[in-house]
Amino acid sequence: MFGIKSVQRKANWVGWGLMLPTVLSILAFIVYPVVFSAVLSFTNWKFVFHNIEFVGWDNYKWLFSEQGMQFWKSTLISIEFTFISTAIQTFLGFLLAYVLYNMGRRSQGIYKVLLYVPVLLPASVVSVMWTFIFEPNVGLMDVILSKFGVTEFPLWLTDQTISLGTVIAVNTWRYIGVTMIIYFIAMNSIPKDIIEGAIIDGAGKARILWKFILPLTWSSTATNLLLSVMGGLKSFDLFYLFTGGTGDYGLYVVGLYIWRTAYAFKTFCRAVTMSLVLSGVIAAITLGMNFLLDKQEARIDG
Amino acid sequence: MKKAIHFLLAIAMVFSMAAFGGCVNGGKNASGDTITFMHMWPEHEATMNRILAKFTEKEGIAVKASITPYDQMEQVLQAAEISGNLPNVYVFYTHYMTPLVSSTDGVMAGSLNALHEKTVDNFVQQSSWELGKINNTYYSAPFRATGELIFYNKTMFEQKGWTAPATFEEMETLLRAIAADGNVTPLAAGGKEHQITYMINAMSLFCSVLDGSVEEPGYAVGRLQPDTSDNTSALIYEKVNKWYANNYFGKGAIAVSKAGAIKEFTSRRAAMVFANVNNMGDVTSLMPNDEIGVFAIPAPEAIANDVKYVYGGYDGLSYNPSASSAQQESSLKLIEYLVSDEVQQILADSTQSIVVNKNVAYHSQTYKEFADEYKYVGAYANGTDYITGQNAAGNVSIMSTYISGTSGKTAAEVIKLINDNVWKDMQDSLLNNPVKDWYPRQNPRKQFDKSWLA
Repeated sequence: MFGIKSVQRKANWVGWGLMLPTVLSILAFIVYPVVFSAVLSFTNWKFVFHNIEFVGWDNYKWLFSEQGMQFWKSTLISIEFTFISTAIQTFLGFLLAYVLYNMGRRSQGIYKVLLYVPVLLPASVVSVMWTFIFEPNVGLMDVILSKFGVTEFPLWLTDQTISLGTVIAVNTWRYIGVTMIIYFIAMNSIPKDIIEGAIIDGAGKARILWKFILPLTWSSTATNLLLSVMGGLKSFDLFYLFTGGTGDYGLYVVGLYIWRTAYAFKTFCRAVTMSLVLSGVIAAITLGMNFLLDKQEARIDG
Repeated sequence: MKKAIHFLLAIAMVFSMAAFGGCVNGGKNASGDTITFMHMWPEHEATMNRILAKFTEKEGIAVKASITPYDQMEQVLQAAEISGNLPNVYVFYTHYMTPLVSSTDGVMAGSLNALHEKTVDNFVQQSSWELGKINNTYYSAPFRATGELIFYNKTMFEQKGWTAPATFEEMETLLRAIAADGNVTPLAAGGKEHQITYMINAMSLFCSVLDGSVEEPGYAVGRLQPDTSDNTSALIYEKVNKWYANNYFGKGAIAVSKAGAIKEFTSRRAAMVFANVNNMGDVTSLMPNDEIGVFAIPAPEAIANDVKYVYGGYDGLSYNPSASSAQQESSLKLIEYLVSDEVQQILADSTQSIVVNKNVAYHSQTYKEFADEYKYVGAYANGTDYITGQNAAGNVSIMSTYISGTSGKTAAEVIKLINDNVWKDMQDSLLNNPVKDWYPRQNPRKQFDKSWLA
């Protein structure tokens, strides 16, 4: 005969056993790299583990000194890129989803695929394609502009005043499909009777959009904003590929700067220090946004 | 804390060893008759395997070869060293050995001084070895040259009555004539990838030869003290800036990619272009009706017979100094074999490589032309004894921005900024320990005719 306690004990063991792979995976792939990086940020690790020494807070002091200013400049470029890109992407994504929402089923199918295709393209393909489009004199963009009589062409990726805007445009083109799909799913999950009720009550399309669709898709807005902000702050691939890894012409985002600090300048200890500080910056921004979005959602619900 | 670091490093190494154990086939054995070799030429795998088989037959040393793409070599070597699997012999850029050696305190490459002494006379460009020399030790044996020359459309030149320049002065006259013709870009350049700055590099080299800087000990270690009272560098920068403004490199050349510049050339909208030997196949296939010639940037008349400028370097060979002495011996034998007359001739015949050995004969006229000009790769090379980091990394784009006229700075200001950036990196104790400083000039500059800089 088994007592309740012995059954419970057995169940506990089974539970722990089932959890073990997950716990071990988290320890190996999340806790260990983070702890190890934190330790390395207090060393002088340059390239290989040779003559490695504990240097205390030197790397952190360097980061907050004049020599480390590029990290903060690059972080600001990343933040600028992220917020402009997120705003445009969210706005256009919502509009496209709304257009799609009002289309017939067949058209929806076609446009959904067309708008989602760029999301599936690898960054290398995107960058090669757009590099050709932006190539001075012979690129598609300049050729089109010349048809309209333009003779002085902008240097899309090498003029510091517009290069970030160019990358934002490409990034928006690339990821707008994700934003649109999230909104589209949210719009389709709004109960039809709510919209029909509003129509019967005499609400026009604009009023329905403003008073019903927008508030009822707010959780999707929050999801889109958070995904876009987190992705934007970590952005690397397009900047790497458009600049050949140099970050020239105002495109030196923080991800690229950290990568160069590690691999080009062989100062891995500084790179891990920056990564940890950047993680803190991203966490602060994300938590702050989450707080504001939650507040807004509570206001809508209330 | 120190113990904790060591404990964590040990764990990291175990993880890394597990990860990389399968990448580089650990060929070490006690007898030392099997060594590992990592190269970066998948396109020449069959030829390399043939060469390695011959080596095994000759020396009785088996070689396990692996291939890593050229753009991943550094990371793979880093991981291999950390995991204790550094190949016995590996290919890396001779002109990029300084950071690899300096940032690792020399644990990733062994001395090739003895091999240098033994084989240097066989090299087309003996100073190419200097690119891999750090603190009087040679760490990399140059193996094959890589560099960018000026390709020109011989057919177009003949039609227009232009001739390939033999001196810098002739080159300027040619650029002016092509620009005046008005139909094509004189010299298409991938400004986005800083190809226009080659002109500054070239003129700086010529001036260093003319004013005797190349004989200075400070030049040999890459940190000769800048002379702020001299305006030669400013004249160089201003000249290239003027050429850019005259559209000698094409409209908006600062934003043009290398591929875009080559496209301009192959579509006959440019008379010349900067390109590498491995672009030759594509260029000739796209221009079946045009004959293509090549030349290096020529020097001013006074030294035109002695020096030319090619932007480039060398794929080199280094070896693992922490391997057993038997494997080190075998590794050195392999490196010596790879730069021998026999192997270098095989490479010249079977691949599109311009090799380092002067006894090699090229059977194709085109590649003979390349070889003639590539002998200047690494001419007057220096082996810097310091590494640069984040400050100097931006210098090339500072140069490009000045050339394109968008920096808002004078040439003198730009030069000061560039020198300051290098100095800041020399003073960074994480990069250079002990920190480095400019090396004062030992002899006064020689005077020379600067009319070609006007």
